[in-house]
Amino acid sequence: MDTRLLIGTNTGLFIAESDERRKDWRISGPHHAGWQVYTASGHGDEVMAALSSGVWGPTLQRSQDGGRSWEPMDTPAFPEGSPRKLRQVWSLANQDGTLHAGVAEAALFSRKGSGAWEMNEALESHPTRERWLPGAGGLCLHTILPDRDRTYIAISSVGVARSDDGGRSWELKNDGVVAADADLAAQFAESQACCTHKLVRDPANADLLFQQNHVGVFRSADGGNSWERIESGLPSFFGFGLVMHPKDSRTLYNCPIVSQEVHMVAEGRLSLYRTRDAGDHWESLDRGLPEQCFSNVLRDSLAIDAQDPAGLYVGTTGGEVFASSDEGESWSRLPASFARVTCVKVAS
Amino acid sequence: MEAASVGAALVAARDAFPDLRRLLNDEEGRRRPHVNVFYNGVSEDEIEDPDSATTDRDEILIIQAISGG
Repeated sequence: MDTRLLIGTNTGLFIAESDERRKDWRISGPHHAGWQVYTASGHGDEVMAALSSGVWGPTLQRSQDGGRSWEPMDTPAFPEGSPRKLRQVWSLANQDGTLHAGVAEAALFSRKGSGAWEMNEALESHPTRERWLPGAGGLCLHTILPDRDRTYIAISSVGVARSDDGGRSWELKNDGVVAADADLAAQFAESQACCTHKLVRDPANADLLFQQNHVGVFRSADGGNSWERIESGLPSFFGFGLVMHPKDSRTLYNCPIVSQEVHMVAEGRLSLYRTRDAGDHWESLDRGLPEQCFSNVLRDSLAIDAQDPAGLYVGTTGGEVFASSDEGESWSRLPASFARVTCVKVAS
Repeated sequence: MEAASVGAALVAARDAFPDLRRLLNDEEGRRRPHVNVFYNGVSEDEIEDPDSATTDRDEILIIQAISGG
């Protein structure tokens, strides 16, 4: 089975394709040269890309032929009179023919088929909405984990929200997500903020969640009602990306970053960390990765495919993308120097 | 593109291509700050009579700000 990566950068979208060995990559692009691509999704020949530009604003584009040709899509828009502005589309998620889009400033839009986008009113009118504060990337709704019975979203810097009624109401689920450092904990407590950087869920158990947060790595076994810290073996609690193994929900990967002040991979070398026991212990995986690296890895620049063995992909703000076809044991660099990598997605 | 008046032409230009309106104007209808639209060399903000008639050779220019370096 061929593997297709969608690589978003500050200067457009690139598509990298390989056979099932995932060793040799053919790269096309840039598609939409000059545009920032903060998220993309692909299924079959359909590819969607969320673009933004300092001049032209945010927009969505779709290809029906694997990226050879593109057409503009209807883009979500806040209702007339809304105090919010559409800054950027941060996440796209498909659910049984409904497309969801998470945007900054902190809104969830959905459209059925080719219908019109509808803004989620319950989130917009959430009782805590007026005290939500943006993180460094803006008030971005960056993660959508839709499910018929229970949907989770994550917003920087609002935290995790859960809906058990199809999006008609949302409850923030941040209890226990507290910094170990007293000063940092006090800062977040004062603003009542919770800066979730990435959220993942066990597809077979909607109660089991993991998050990479601004203040640490956390696990919840009760649908977000409570969280516990899981950082044993990590060189830093800070980071952005987090992915779960497609067949083993106890196996996860992250990429530790130095700190909130220094957005650079921990210890000056690119190294992914893996846990095989749901976060109780983490181990370094760096064979084939550069021994000296001073870039960042952004929240959507860490990806995993669904093959056996699973393939892992990591893109850096220094413009490099590395691939592993053996679950992270060894790595090789894709044969291109990109601009700042803003996302790496695996097309299905 | 055909339009009877200058003002109508500026509206029709935004509707002539998919998504062009969203690229030129934000969701509140304001033109994006780094985009200018000229009608026969005159900024659309400075057109004195939007009801004036068009002619066959009229030209609309869309220009983005260039910065950097």
